[in-house]
Amino acid sequence: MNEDSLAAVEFIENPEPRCAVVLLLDTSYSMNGDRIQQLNDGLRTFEEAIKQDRLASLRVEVALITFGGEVRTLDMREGGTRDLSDQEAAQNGFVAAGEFQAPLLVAQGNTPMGAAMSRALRLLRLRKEIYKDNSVEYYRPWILLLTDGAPTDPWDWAAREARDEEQRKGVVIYPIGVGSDADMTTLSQFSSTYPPLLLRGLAFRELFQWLSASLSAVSGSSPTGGQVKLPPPNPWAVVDTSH
Amino acid sequence: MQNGHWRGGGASLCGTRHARLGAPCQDVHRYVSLEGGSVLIAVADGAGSAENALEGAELAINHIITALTEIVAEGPTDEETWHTRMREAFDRTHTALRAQASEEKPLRSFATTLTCVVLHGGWSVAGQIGDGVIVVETLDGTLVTAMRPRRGEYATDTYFLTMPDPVQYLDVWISHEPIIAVAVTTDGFARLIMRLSDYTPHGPFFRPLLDTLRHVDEDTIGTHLTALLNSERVRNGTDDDTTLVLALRDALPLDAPAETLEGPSLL
Repeated sequence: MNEDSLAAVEFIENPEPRCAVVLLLDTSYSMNGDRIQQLNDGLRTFEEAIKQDRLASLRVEVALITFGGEVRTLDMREGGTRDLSDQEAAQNGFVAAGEFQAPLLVAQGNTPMGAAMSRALRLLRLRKEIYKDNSVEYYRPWILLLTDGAPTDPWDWAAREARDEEQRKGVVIYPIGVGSDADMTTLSQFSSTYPPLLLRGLAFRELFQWLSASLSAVSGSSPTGGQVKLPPPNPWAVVDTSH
Repeated sequence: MQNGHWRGGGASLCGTRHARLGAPCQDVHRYVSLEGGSVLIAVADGAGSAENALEGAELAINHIITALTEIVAEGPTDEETWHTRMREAFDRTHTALRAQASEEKPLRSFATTLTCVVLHGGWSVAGQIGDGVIVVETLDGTLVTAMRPRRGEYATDTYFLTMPDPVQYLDVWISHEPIIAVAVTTDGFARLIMRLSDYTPHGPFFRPLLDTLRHVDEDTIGTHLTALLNSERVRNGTDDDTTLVLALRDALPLDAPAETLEGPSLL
């Protein structure tokens, strides 16, 4: 059988479907010391792990918003040293996973979690408009919300926005608490799908390994294929088996 | 396969994605050449996340082929009747899947898409619930997208035959114009041969494909398609299951009214 008989056919290159992930990270003063160090390590782990997956490298795109004193959307394409405006961030705030370079975060200030979540939701809304304008397919985007405390700004409205957007299936939110001062009750208000999980000690590396594996699973599926099975969070989360 | 009017065949290949996840290939197709010169094509893409998706896909294919065979025997002569019959066929197939469901194997575990085509008596009729693609070539050589995915509100939605009251998601395409080629594919391969922004067929794929396969030994069409889906270029382009089914008009009708297509070969 002549395999080359159809050698003349040509294929088309369509843009890859995108999976947007916003890492919404607490860099308030209390994160100082071991916590921010391990978080930075975790981000480096993520950088390595996600690049192992060819499809994920092409399809997953990452934005980083920190909240410590102020809310900053990092310019991930330029080393994470600059803060981007909303419009700029929608265009340039996301970097393909294959090009993700872990920034070095420093801890300072209080915890404007409400403002941070609002910004994350706004960023994803704008990003989806860009996808639609360019006929790019997309998976349901993710927000990974990480905090070691409680919000110090008005957060009620942002939490409600977050829950509503989840209910509309416009986003998936994973709230994660770090340390004994993490206000898990408030955290639980930021998601209607997943109860907040407490990080096991400082298992940031395990968390970001899990994140990378989960994103591989999602981006390896069809954008329209429905539910994907994610790896269990036990390696990094304290799973409550008390009831 | 060739029946004096049409020649055709198909191929379905397992993508590396499923091999990675240990799941079976879930694309299924059938090409049926009926004695009177009519052709039936059915393609089903089992949902990756559904446990019994392959079984669902196979059941769907078998039941729709049975239903379509009966429709051909009846031979509808107007668009409205074809539309009704297609709806009934999908409804019947959904019911058959429901009958297979049990507590251990709920209906949603059989989740699958279903795409089908009937070529009979000058009519070309297609029905789909799901995200497959059908491209046809008209007499003057124009490529037309006859069926494309109906997307839900969010990019992550696909409609499956196993959903409640699925006929509301059924799309039907009917033509009484002369058609000289039909290609049916599932979403894994569609992204390599269609421009996704507006679902237009990629000419540089279809033209050489149809031109070549018009001239090969008709019984080898399936083998050629298998080799194509198995080629390095396709493997590198997608890790999803791939399917391509083709029907090519054997006798190119001249500028003849539709009725004469039922007559003897014009060659």
